[in-house]
Amino acid sequence: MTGFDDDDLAAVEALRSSALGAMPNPSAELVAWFAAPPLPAPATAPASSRARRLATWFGGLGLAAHVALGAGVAVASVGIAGTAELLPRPVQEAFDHVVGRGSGSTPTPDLPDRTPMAPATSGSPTDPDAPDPTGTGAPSPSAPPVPAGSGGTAGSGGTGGPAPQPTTAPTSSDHSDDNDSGSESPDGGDQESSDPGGEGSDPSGDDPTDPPEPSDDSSDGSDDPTDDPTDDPIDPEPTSDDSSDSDSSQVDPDGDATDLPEAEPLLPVGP
Amino acid sequence: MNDLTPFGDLLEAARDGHGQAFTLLWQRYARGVAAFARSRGAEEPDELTSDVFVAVFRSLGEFVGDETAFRGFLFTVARRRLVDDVRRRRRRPLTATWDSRADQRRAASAEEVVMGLGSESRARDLLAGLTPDQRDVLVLRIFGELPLEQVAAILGKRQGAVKALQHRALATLRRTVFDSTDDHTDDHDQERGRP
Repeated sequence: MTGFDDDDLAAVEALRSSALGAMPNPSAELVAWFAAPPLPAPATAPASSRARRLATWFGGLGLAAHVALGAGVAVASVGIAGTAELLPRPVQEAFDHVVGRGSGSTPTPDLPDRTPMAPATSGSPTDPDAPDPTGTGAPSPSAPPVPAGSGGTAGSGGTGGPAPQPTTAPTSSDHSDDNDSGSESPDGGDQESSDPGGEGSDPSGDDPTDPPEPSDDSSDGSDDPTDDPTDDPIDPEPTSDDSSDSDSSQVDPDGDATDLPEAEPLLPVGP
Repeated sequence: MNDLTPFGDLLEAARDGHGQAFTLLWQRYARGVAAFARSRGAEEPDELTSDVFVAVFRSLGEFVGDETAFRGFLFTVARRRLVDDVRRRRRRPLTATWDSRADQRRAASAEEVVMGLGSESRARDLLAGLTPDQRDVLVLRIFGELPLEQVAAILGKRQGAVKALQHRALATLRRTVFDSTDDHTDDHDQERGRP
């Protein structure tokens, strides 16, 4: 070992010859290694360090993170496919509907649900005397053909044909494109904000344009919603035959139609 | 393969799984690692040295370099193991029963004085006057046969600082050796009746 002066060699040699440098005894593990060394690790194919790091990172995530990441990837994939209009037709329509509502345009009611009631709405609460749902004062007779003719495509935005425009331009027309014109049909305005009567003007406390009530009654074969005065609170001429219907309507789980006829006899009793 | 086999061939044979190559590597370098462990006061220097070699042998496939680099690799692993050993002992203080034969608090006998240079007590005396840093530098330089720059790298110090530590350590060691030699000579003179 060089690097030491001659004067230091004696000291270095003294230290080297001390017990400090005694040969150690190998451990049992090391003796076994000497006897039968383990086979060298086979050469693995050099994988991309980035891919390996990504796999390591993903493997280190927890179950919740795996689920969240998978859901995020699925949503992103559907979004990309929907933007490119590669989804199946029903899914694509639903996607367009959701994107149209989420893009800041005027929210549209679910028009396909409204379609079955369109032919049977001659005496429905919505048509003749109902308050204008759009609040625009547009003539309501022009309204019914629009959803009936456009069908489910009106609510789907891009797939519908040229729908009639409301008489007054919606406030959000700057942000809506042509695809959104279908969603701005006369009954497609902002119902909650433009309803002049609001919920307080409805005796049953429901929106008069709410479709489920007539559709539920129309599904019942024993009751004709157009003849039942209790179902139609605006009908001025109830007949005597309607009393049985009103009795039967008392067991109607909706209970909305029985409010007005029962309220009239109670009036004289009151103070 | 024998003791004169070049390091490169030895390393290649060890990578190919030849047991004799591992044995030769152990015989060539284990003494320095054990000396380093003893100078640091390791509890089980032989066991620690074996652990160091097992760790080095396991990662022999990834090692790239010459013999000097291999020495540096070996003593770097040894130093880390020693640091772990010191921490472990601090967490769990060693408790041992008193043994009169192991108790060093006594005067050396005549036999020990005669045989002193090769004994453990002699090594301990040589290192007693050194600071831990000086001890590390000397052991790595003498037993590890490492150049100054590699000692500096292992200890995390500048090369100039290592050189200064070595200089002071050698001065202290020289004094200790000469003093002990003088004492030894005095003892012999007294036994022979010389003034």
